[in-house]
Amino acid sequence: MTPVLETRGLAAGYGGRSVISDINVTLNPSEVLCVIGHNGAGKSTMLKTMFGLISPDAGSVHIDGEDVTKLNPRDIAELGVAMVPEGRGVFPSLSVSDIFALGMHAVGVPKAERAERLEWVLGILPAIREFMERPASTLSGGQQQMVSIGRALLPRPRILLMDEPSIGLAPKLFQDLLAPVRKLQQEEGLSILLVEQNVREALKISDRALVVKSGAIAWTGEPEELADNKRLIELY
Amino acid sequence: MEAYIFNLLNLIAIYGILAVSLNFIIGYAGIYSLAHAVFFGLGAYTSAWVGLNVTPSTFVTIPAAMLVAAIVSLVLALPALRVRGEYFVAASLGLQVIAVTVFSEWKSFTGGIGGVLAIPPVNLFGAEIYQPREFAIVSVIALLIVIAITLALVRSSFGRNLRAIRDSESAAASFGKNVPLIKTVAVVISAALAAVAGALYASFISFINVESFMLDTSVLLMAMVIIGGTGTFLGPLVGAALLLILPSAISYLSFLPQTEIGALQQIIYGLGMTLLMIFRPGGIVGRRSGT
Repeated sequence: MTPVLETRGLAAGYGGRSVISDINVTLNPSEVLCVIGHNGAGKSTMLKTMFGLISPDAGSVHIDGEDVTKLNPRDIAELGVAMVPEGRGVFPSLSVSDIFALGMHAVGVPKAERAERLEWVLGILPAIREFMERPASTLSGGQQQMVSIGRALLPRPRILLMDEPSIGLAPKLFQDLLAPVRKLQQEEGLSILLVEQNVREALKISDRALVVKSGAIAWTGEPEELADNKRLIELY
Repeated sequence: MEAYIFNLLNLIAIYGILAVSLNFIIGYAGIYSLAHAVFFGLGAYTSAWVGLNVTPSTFVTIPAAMLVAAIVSLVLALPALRVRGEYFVAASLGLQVIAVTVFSEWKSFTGGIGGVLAIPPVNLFGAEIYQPREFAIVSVIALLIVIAITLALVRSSFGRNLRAIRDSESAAASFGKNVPLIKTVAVVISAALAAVAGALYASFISFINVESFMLDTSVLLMAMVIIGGTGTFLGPLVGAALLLILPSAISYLSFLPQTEIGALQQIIYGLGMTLLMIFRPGGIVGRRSGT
């Protein structure tokens, strides 16, 4: 089985300072892979490098086996990858409908399909309908995260990269937000790479987990094993 | 008195174009430039050169001015916009310093320190327009066109992109937006529109030299935008009008000692700006503090 997303010996950093090195990750079709680790372990850097937001210093990124290392985020998005960025990535001065329009325009969703896509997302996350015309700055944290997830789903991605979506949310709200995404994974084969610090909640929905420590992969395996193993718990 | 008022109106329209074009990048894209006077100057020098050496037709001088300013703005934008905000400010300051030196030394194009004299007036279909009253019609129409262009852009998907980038560059990039390209296009448009003001200024004054295009002009333009209200439609116009009228208005206050009027102007002007920024940081037209 060809992984939908794969990194081979990936290394990256900022301004000559190495943050991640020799990262080998595979994300299989319809899989939820959870990446956990301390603050500063390199989780977000790994995700950003996969999405083309940071140029790697070494190694490569592959989508469906094709090398996409040199592609920019727009090109990667057009291959069916979407990202829910850390900090929700909503624009305070824009209304929710503007944010959605921006999201569809960014990845070239044809005009004729935009209304249908919007309805599809509102069907998955119906609560958004109530605050479509409100500026994002007036929304609660949970509503903003819902918008961020909804925006990422608009192009109907095959691969969803989520960077700490639980930040600032109660566990129940976090699970409520992830439930529709989980449903898409189960029914439509969406593959999800979930970077999280909220290990307990993240492992509940993951098929596989890996631990990043000091910019390198320290462990990979089953979520149950990770949750029960005291030595592993110390790693994160 | 009538000529004075129309002269002032022309200057408000010309500086209004500059403030509107600067607000396009400051207010909607969050790009703070200290080089706007460079594009103002490039527009003025280019249109003067074309007017004196090629044709006085305004339909040629203004597009030529816009083209040159757009090309030079690319030189600034392409490398500088790949870095974050404060680095662009520094890069634009560098361009401003270099441009002043070039404007002062490139005698064959700019006339050096002495400047360029006898610049042809606005020429529309062979008719020369140099009287302040008639010129005011041209300058106000030009201002309205520039406002219409910027409003159309701001309300389009391009404007939505700019506001998204202003709010969060990293989030816009995670949407798949080509942030450097969008910012570069915004800077090029802003510079080309500033060149329109330069071309009008050269035609109106008929004499230009480097003193009109120095760093203090760039700072004055930024002050117009910030005091008026960044990211607002009326703010830059109010800022331009206020900062052009205020110094003259102060000189009419009869109770002020005429020998000290220059220093008093500066003190009142500076104090007014400081108080405004404390009590209305969003500018005169912008939102009140805390709302």
